[in-house]
Amino acid sequence: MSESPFDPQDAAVVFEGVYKAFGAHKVLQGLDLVVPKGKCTVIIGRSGTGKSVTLKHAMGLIKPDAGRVVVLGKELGKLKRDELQRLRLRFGMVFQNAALFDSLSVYENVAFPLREHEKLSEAETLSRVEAVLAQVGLSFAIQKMPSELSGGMRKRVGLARAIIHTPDILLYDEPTTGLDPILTAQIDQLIAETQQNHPGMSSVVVSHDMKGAFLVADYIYMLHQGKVVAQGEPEHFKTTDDPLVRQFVEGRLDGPIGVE
Amino acid sequence: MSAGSLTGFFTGLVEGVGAAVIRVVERFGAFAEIAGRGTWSLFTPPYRPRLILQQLEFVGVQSLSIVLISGFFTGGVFALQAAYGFGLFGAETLTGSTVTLSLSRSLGPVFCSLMVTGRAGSAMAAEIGTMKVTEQIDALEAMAVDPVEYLVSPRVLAGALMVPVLSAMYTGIGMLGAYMVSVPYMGIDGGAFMDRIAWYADPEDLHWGLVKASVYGWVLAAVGCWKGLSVRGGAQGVGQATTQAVVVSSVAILVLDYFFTDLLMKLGLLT
Repeated sequence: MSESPFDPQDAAVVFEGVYKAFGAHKVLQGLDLVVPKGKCTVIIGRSGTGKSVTLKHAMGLIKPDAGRVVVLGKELGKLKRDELQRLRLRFGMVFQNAALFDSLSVYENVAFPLREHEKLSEAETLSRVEAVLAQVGLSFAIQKMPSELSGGMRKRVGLARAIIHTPDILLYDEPTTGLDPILTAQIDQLIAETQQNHPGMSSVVVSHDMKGAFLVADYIYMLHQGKVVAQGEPEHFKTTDDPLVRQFVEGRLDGPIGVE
Repeated sequence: MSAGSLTGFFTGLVEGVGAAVIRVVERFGAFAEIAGRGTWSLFTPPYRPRLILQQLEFVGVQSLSIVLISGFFTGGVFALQAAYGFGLFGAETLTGSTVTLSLSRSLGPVFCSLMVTGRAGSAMAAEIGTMKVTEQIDALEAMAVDPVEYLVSPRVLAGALMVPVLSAMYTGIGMLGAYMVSVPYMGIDGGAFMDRIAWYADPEDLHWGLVKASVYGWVLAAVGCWKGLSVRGGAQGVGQATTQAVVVSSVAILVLDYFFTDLLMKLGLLT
């Protein structure tokens, strides 16, 4: 496996020898991974290989059993609670099931980060929410409740909420899981557009949708059994003859990954 | 039994007891951390008056009907029993003062807290637990919002403020229930009924009853939030947390009431 070409000293997120287990279940087993600044990094791998756990480590939602996670030059394990909270202000996260607040309308959900952290007038808040909802094509849904939205719409609202405060790092946890192919393409397109519209932003997309990964990725890491087993630009994943990568990319049952 | 197997048995026993003690200490520690931080952060910014008002309405206003109905009938049934007992030696007129003392000192705060636990404490555990399993708690943290400050603080404040108010209403409506049963229904003299209340009941009784109710309100909200934030798994975990919130709060309130009352009596604050 090739080494990461990115300088860890100038990276958005760096994982160094990260181990994590939940009880007897070992999830991350020496994860080394560098997320470069200003690019879209996609992490692929089978379900249960630790992709979502990796994202949660990046936000400090989970602490590693061993190893270091460094975000924008700061080691998360050494930060106090308020320092970690300040660092999280530089993140946006799109959750697998959107994680919208059920009791709040779309407007209130998207405005939530602004209300909590920025002292804006109601008119300014409304203007920012309308702008970001227009970006994700949901201007018409501003007064709806999350229960009135389809799965794809919920994810777009989740994306709007994540980008409203223009984060430095945007994390996507399986953004297309559970969507039909057309909605999947729509979300993939939205991720690509969001990256183009925010060129300084570093994005990390966790996915097992290879079509989308090839569309949005600048760089791809493949996880297997809790560590990186392959990495490179999308072209590398299209052409490599690494049997692990080939089996995953082509979705074959036979191969070294195995099927439970 | 050989010496080796005996040693193994005792080692296992000690390990089992040790593990259970550690579990209890860990759980109490988690509760203390959540309840303590949730209370402390009420005094530090950011302040969220809108959330506090929502919780005051949820715990207080929405519990009013159940508290009034149960309070009325608690007073009524207590009066029925008391009037029968006192009637055995011709002291029926003491029914009002007995019901008033019991309700204001202990039964009002305790029963009212148990009713609010069943309605609001369980709902807190279920709501926060559902937020946990649907990653809404993670979403709060991801947006740099402390879930304890955002979810727990308004709820413990609402519990501590609204349960005493409800308890006072519970006591008042309970006294009305006792009056309705004693005077029009059982024919006890209304003037004597009221006179005995004025003679034996003391504002201090109600005062300490309200203090107790405030503590129980804080407990039921803190336990509900703690159980909600401790949920693991999916719908089953939420269901278990809801049940445990009600059981733990109810037992805690009853146990606390005993020690609280005993302490007040020893200190001479209640006679």
